[in-house]
Amino acid sequence: MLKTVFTINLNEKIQPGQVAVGKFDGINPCIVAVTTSDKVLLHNPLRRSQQTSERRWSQPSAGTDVTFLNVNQTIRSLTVGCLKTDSEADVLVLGTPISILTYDVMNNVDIFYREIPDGANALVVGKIGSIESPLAIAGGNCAIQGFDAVGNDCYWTVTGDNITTLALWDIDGDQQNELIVGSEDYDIRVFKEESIFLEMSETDSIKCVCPLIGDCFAYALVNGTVGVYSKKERLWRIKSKNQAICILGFDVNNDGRPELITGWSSGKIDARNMETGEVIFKDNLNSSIAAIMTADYNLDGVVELVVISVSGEIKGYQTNSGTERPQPVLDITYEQETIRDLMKRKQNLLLELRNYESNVQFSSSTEPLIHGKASTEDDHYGAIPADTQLKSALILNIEDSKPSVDLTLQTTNETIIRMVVIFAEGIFKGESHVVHPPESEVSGTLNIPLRPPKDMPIDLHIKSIVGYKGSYHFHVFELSRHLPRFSMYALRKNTNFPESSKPKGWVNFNLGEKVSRICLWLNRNFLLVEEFEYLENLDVTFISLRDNKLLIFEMDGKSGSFTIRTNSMEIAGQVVQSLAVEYLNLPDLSSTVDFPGEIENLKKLITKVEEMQSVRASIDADIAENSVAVRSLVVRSEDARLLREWKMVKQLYMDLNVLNRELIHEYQIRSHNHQDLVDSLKQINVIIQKAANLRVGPSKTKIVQLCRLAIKDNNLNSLARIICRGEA
Amino acid sequence: MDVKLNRVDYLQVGLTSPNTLKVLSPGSSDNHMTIVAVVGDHSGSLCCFSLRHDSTNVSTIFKTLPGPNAKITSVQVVRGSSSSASPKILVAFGSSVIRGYTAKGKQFFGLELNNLTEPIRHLQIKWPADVYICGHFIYNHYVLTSESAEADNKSSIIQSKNFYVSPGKITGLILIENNLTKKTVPIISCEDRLIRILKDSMCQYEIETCGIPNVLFSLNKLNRSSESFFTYGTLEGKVALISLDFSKNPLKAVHKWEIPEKGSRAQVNCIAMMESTGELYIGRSDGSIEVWIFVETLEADGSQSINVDLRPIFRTEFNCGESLTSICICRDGTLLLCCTFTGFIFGLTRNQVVNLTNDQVSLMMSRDAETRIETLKSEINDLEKKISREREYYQDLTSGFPAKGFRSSPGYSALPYFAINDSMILQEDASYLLTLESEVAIDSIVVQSDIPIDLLDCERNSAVVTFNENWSSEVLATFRCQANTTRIEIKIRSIEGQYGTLRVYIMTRMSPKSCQVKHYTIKALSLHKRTHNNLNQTIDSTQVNQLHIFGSFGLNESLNWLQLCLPEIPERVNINNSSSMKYTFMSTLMDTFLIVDCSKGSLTFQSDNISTISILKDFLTREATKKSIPIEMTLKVNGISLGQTIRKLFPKLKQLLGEKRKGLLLEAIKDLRINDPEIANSMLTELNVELPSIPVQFNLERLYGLITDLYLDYIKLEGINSSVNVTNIKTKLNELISLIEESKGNEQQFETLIENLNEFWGLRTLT
Repeated sequence: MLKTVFTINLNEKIQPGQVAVGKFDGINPCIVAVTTSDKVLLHNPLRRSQQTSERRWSQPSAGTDVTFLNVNQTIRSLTVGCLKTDSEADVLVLGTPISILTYDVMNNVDIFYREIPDGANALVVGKIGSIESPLAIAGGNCAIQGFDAVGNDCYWTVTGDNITTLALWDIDGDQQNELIVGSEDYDIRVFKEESIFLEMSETDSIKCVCPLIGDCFAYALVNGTVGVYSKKERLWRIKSKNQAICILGFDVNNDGRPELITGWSSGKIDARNMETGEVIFKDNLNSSIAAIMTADYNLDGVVELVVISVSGEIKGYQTNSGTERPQPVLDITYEQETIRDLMKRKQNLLLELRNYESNVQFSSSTEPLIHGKASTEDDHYGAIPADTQLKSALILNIEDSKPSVDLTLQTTNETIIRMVVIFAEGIFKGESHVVHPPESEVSGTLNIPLRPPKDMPIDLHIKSIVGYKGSYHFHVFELSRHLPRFSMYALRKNTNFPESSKPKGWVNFNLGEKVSRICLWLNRNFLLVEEFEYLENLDVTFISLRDNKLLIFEMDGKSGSFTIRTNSMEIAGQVVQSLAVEYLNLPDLSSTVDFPGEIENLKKLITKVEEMQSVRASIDADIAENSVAVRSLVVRSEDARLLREWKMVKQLYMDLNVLNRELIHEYQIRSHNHQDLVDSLKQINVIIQKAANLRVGPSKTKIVQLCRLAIKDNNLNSLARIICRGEA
Repeated sequence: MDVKLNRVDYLQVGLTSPNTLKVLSPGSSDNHMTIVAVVGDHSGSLCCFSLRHDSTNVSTIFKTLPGPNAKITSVQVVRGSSSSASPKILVAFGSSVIRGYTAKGKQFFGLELNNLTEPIRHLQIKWPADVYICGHFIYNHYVLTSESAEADNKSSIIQSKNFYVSPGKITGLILIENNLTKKTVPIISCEDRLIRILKDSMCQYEIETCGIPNVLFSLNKLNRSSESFFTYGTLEGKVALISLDFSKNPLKAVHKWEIPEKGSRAQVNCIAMMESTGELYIGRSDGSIEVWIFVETLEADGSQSINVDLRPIFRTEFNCGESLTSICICRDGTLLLCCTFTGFIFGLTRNQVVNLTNDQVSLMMSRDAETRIETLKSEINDLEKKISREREYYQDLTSGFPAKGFRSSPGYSALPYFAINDSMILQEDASYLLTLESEVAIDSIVVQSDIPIDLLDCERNSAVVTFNENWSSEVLATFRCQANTTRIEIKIRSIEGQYGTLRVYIMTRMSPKSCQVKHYTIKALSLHKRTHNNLNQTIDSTQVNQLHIFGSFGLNESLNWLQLCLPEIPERVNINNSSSMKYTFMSTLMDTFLIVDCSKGSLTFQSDNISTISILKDFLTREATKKSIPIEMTLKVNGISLGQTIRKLFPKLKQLLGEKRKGLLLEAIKDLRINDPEIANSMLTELNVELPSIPVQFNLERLYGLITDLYLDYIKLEGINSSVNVTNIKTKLNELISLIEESKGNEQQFETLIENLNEFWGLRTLT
């Protein structure tokens, strides 16, 4: 197990997650962290970086081993890593909302600075795919960009939403790293260079991901979930009311396999078995954990697990070496725990047995039964007829003003449903939803309208509480229902729709499959009253319960040509991915596309970006001009002060004040402009991502690459062509 | 001394009531440190077991069979006058049966009290003749006629000697000895925050407690010449020591100390004291066992004695995760024998389980443990097999197609209730702590309320909370518990004036799954607590608001109303005693008072808090209309009381504003430290010395809400045409907040604040 080997208190407020440990001289590890006031803190435990000049690192009075670097910008992310192939020394990489900065701590120089309009929410340093040199990879709003040691832009791709976390790891064992990307749209994607290799949907924004061993990696979500994936398969997950701040793989018990170490917002850290999630070690710090790292921080030759909390407490743990014989005391407490567990289990079993036995007793006793009566607190048993069953049905309710998928529950006799709790993820705000009708409206039937916000398959775990009106004791009926991915689309038999409501956008591709197989897919992924049988040609119309828009599938049975008609590129993309990837497992699919609405939107966005870039240039010029004026005013006012020209001083300061206000105003315009720019760029990225989703495999990668080229060459107009035809 | 406590599990019985584990022989050196103890559980089974010092295995001496309606609520061990006489065990079964057993398990005594109107809750026996019994409200003292007590027959002749009906529900009973007269003095603790010292059939003295007392514990061995000591523990988690001086006439009781000094803890369930070493053990409902140690003083003759006059010092703590029901001290304090609600009996030792130097013993221990693990495993195996059979049978039964040979008429699926140990306690911070403990693991809990309440995060609660997306206005939240949770705490903040029912649905993890619902009423004045201070002298009558209600309703009716709107009004009141009742309350939120006088056809409320009066007026009007009882009201509203109430809130306001300012400054100063450390440091020290802090239970928003409500109620009751329209209050709230915040909390500015507030509300200056 782990034992504490050192504790250090920095007494500085640290931002959670924004901490890294690096060997800036190639030998000695130092902790770098972002403080709450957006400064970079460097903790050099052994103070061997005296040669660092004091130009930019300022030392606080206390004279600790802590130095600060002032960046004068909001820091979104921080990492360290080695960018040069011929050097051991790590460099510090900082990500701000508009740029990426790499910095050589030892020599106190910037290595490169690049503006990224997307910002850098997450950073990682390392080799990816077949690219020779290590890259500093920044994840921004949808776009991922990689830079080499001198700042050349070597890697670019897009993903579905703002990127929250990045990690590099060789998942498939081909000696090349893949990039694991977590984003705010609840998805974890694994990129093999530019193409998506794996994609997993989770239930909340991804907080962080970390590689473990082989094809396993762990993830943590904003809602407090922590879990482990082995490739696409989830091994386990747990959920806590606290939030996991950081996760890391570290071998705690010397079994050669890493355990998953999790740092929680409550200040707890725990180590879990990678395969089962069983807790094997835990400890507490006084405040929320900010980061967990590994380093030989006390330079004793053994790598420690280093945990740092937001209040600046650093704790180092070491594993007990395996040769040490477990102490007898531990053994006895272990035995005691086993005994306690067994006693607890025995008690639980006895109680369960009591349930069954007293049930028999009750049935065979001649006592007047409490027929159909509500149980009270003074009774000893709660009884309902043994043949009570709970029926459930999922019905599409289109007639309502707010259409929904209705879950109807009904008991088979005079018993009532007092309450229903539905546990399902990705459909409610939390993880569950309770329906508790007022006492007067309680009956044997309960109707629950469901409106899944996203098109994804959902498992509903339903607990219904069944008894009599006013009962004290209820029986719990548990059942599970599956909501298919496209449950919010209702089949329309009547196809006579006015021409105007017909969707204008379409995707066409050739599946080379028989219609019957596609029917099977329809049966599985939509809520249908009756299943589709064999058809020669397919022409079905669905209507979305969310916005009453149509979704039409057409298929020619002979040629295998399949057309999806909808106005939403996103829905089309989801259909393509579900059909071609999940169901048919196609390696490659190219398609021709037309979405007049989206293309129009894209064109508007492109013009907007161009406009904003020119506005930005002029504002920059203004600001530069004003700053020069400020500088001269400051100098002049200081001169005047020395000359005791008080009137002059006053005048100058008033001018300065006016100028200052102007600067602030300009800054506000600029930041507004910047925000707009970021939003527009993000939307463009989203459209590219959606367009890519209409294809599968290499065709998909090609779209992203072509779009990137078009943006790089500022050939924005060719974007539309790429999106529609899949080629430049 | 090593202060770490280690746990060793011994045995398990059914659910237990507080103080039903008793030690017959604490294990002294003359009997090879063998402990003999007895425990009674809710199934009615009494188990006597012994524990050898070199083993963790227990051997059962005797065990009685469980029976229906034989829940054991009290176990007493009495020793004969001579030390050689073996101890006797006296047990209260069910509602009215008392039986006596010898240490060998032979029943020598039986008593059925058929004339009791209430079930026995507390039992104390002074062998051979005196039996003291408490029900919910009634205290009885019986005397056994001597020949019947010794005769081995089951129909002893008893005589009722004394009888007392307590105005508050009885929560504890102890007997202490008056050293002067050598008489036994019974003491009861009551839910109305009083400890009553009885004499014959009278209450001779009442002591107001610092909370609702839950458990009494006498320190007979420490009694000095005329002074007797006892401690009590409260639902709020305090433990206090009272000294009774019998030489004074009238009797004098002094509160010596209370621990912990500040803050609420989990409710105290049991107390034990090791007189020789001066250690006090407290067992709480959250599973913690605390060890406190008394200071020792050196006497003139060189002997050391424990000084109970001084507050003990906290020493160590152990948490077993389940609420405790008993703590017994064995082997001179080196082993604590503890019992939990679900019937786990375990020992806490101070040394590392066993003496490590003695290898042989530790080896023995391991072998012991090994065999125990083996037997447990095989028992579990058998049980699992049995259960899988039963499970199949149950499945057949409930599948709707009864198995062969079963009656054709559909049977019933009847599930026995699982026991829930629950409490809902008003805490110092003006919020309720709802504690639920179940004998089986809890799967999830749904909280539903008719009225708006706040569910606060509770540190010890590890369950995942989900608030419903509200389709209706009711509060609904789901707590999904982690595996093996049997205990959960939920913190609830209610709003005074809003009253209704809170329903808590508890679903078990055990199959077949069942669910039980607990109801709690949230009263209109939910944040008031009873007090017994005679406030009449201290009250300035010019600052009191009065509501007088009269009509043709009886005393019962008015008491019923009080019960509905105020907490801690006893369910039953002995009306014969008097024709009028008087209750005094304090608001835990605002520190304002409320005095209620209640008699036939008349109800009078006096309070310095206008909001309280307004809530009562609304409530009573509604209740009277519901029952169509005609009532008349006279209302005396006093504008000066506004200032008085705000004065009571003022220190808190000051504190909170100060803290807010400090919080803002602190960040800025920290930043400054990098550039100008000296100035920053001096500013920091200045900031830190500024204010001595007082505990404030709530945030500024709640305080602003209280002040706003106060004025709104005043305007409503007085019927004043205020310039502030009640409907647009929302928009003006920010204005009010800035007004309050500007006052910065200076004492001189207090008057100005009041004036400003009055002006804001468009009232003429009332001071």
